[in-house]
Amino acid sequence: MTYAGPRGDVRVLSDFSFCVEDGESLGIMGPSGAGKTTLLSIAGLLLRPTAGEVHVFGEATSGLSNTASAYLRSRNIGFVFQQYHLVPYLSAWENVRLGLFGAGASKRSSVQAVDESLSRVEMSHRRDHRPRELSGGEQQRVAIARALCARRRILLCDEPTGNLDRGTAESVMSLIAKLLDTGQLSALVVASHDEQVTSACHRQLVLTRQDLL
Amino acid sequence: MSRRAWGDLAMWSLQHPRRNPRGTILSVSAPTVSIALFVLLLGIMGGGTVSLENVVSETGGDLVRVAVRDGSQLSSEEVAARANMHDLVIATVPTRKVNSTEIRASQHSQSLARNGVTTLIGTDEQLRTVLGTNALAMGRWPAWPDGMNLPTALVGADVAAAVPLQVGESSILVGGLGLPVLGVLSPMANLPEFDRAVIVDAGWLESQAVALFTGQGSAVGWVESGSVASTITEGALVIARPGQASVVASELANLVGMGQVAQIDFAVSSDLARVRTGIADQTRRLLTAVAVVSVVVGSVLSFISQKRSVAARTSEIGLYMSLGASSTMVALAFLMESALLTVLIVMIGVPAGLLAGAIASSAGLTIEWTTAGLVYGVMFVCYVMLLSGIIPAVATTRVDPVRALG
Repeated sequence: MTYAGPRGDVRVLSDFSFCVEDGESLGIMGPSGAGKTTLLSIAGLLLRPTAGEVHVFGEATSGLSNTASAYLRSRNIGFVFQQYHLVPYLSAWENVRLGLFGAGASKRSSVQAVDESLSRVEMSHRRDHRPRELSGGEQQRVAIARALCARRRILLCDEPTGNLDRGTAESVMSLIAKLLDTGQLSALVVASHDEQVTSACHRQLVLTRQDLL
Repeated sequence: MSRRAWGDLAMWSLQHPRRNPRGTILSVSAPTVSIALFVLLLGIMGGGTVSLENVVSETGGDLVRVAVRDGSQLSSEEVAARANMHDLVIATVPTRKVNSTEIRASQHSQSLARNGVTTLIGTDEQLRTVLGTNALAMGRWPAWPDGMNLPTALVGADVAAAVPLQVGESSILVGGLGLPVLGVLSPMANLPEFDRAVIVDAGWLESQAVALFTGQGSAVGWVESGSVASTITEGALVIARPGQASVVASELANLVGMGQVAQIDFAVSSDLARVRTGIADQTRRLLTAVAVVSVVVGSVLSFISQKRSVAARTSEIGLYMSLGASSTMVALAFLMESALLTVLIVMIGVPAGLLAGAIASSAGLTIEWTTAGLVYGVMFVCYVMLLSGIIPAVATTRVDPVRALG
C-alpha cells in the first residue's frame, strides 16, 4: 500500500506490504517520523491508504464506508498508545468501560466484560482509581484492558512502553505477550523505536526513511 | 445504530458535564440560560402591570374621568367638547341606573332591592384580577340594615364558584376600597353571564369612591337611590370596557340634563389606561429585552464552552474514534450534550419562572401565564441552544483521530 498524506502531496509510505498471521505478533521498528504511527493507523482503519488495500481477517476494507469501518474497528481492533489516553475524569473501571463504546453490550455483560478485562491485566484492585492516581505502568495496563474489553482480537500498540521505565516496560510487554500466548489475542502489532520492545515479537519489520518517499 | 449504542452516546454526553472539571463553563452557562428563560417568560407572557386598578390594565379599558361642580350645567355637546380636556379624576358621580336588571332568586335582597343592580363589578377576568391583588379581604358580616338600599356588585358564575366569597366574611375591593359582601344573588336573568350578585353595603358607596363598569355593551350605573344620588364624593373612577367610554360618557352627560347633578365635568379618554398600559408595555419590553440578551449571552457562553470542550477533548474524540465511534456518532454525542443541557435548563428555568411569577404577583405585579407563552419561551431557548451546539458538533467531525492521538 501507499499513503501520501491527507492531501495526497506527501508520500509517507510507499509500496509497503505486510501480513500478520493468526496468533502472530509483529514488531515494527523505525526512527521517529518513519511512519510507524501512520502504518498502525492504516492497519487500524483510522486512515485509508492512498493506494492499496487493507484486509482484516481476510476481508477487504477499501469498499467500506466510514461508519462500516468504524464498526469493524469497534469489533476487532484495539489500540494502545504511548500517552495512554485515559479519560482523566473517569475511574479505571469506567475507562475500560469505554472500550465497549458502541458495542451494544447490555449492562450486565458490560460489567462482566470490564471486570474480566481488568482482571486480565491485574488491575482489579485499582478499579476505582482515577488515572492521576495510577502509575504509568498501571495506566498502560488499564489502556490495554480497554483495548481488549470488547473481545477485540487485534491489538495495535504504538510505542506502548515509551513513557515507562525499563522494568515497567518489560512487565507490560510480558503481559501483552501472555495475552497472545493464551489465545486472547489473534494478532499483535507493536510499533516502537525501542528494539528491545519489538524483539519480543515473532517477526520484526524495520521502517527506514527509504520507505518514506 | 443500535439502541444500546445510543445509550452509550447518552452516557458519554452525560459524563462530561457532570464530571469533567473542565466543564465548569457549562455548569455556569446552564443556570445563566435558565435564568434568562425565566426572565424571558416573565417578559413575554405577563408583562408587569403594577397598579391599583388592575382591571384597567387587565382589560385595557377606557377610563372616563369625572369631575362634578355645582352651579352650572353642561350640555351633552359641551361635555363631549370637554371630553379630551381633562385627565384627572375629581369626584364621584351619582349616576342613574342605566340597565334595569331584575334580581331573581335572591335569598337575601329580592324583597329589599330596588330595581336590582347598582354597581356591576365586571367580568370574571376583572374580578380575578382584583383578587390577584388580595382585593378580597376577610371581614365580618355586618348587621343587615332595615330599609337599606342595596347597591350590588355582580360577579360571574365562574368567579363565584372559584372564589370562596363568604357572605359576611368577604370584601370586594372597588376603587381601592374594601366593600363588605352582604349576600349573594343568583341567577341574574337578563345578565346571564353575571349570574351571581354580590351585595355590597350601600353605606360604603355613599361616602367612598366607587367604580362603575359596563356590562352587555352599555353602562351600568347606580340604582336610583336618593341617598346615593345626593352624595357626591371625591375620587370616583369610572371604568368602561374597551370602546365603551363614549357610552358611559353619554349616560353621565344625561345625568346633567336630568338634574341629578349640577355639573359633570369629565374627560372621555384613555389617558390613564394608556399610561398604565404604557407602563406595562415598557416593563414587558424591558424584561423581554433583558431576557433576549440573557439568552443570547447564555447561548454564546454555551457555544464557547462547547468549542473549548471540543478543543480540550480532541484526544478524547480521537480515542472514541479509535474505539469504533464514527465521526457522525461523535458529533451526535456533542449535540446530545447540548440537548441534555437544554433539557436541564428548561427543567430549571420553567419552574423558576413560575415561582418568580408567583412571588411577583404577591408583591403586586400582575403576571398572567399562558401556555402559548411558555411554549414559545421554551422553543426559543431550545432553538438558540441548538444553534450554539451545532457548530461545535460539526467541528468534531473534522477532528483527525491520528493527529488527535499523536
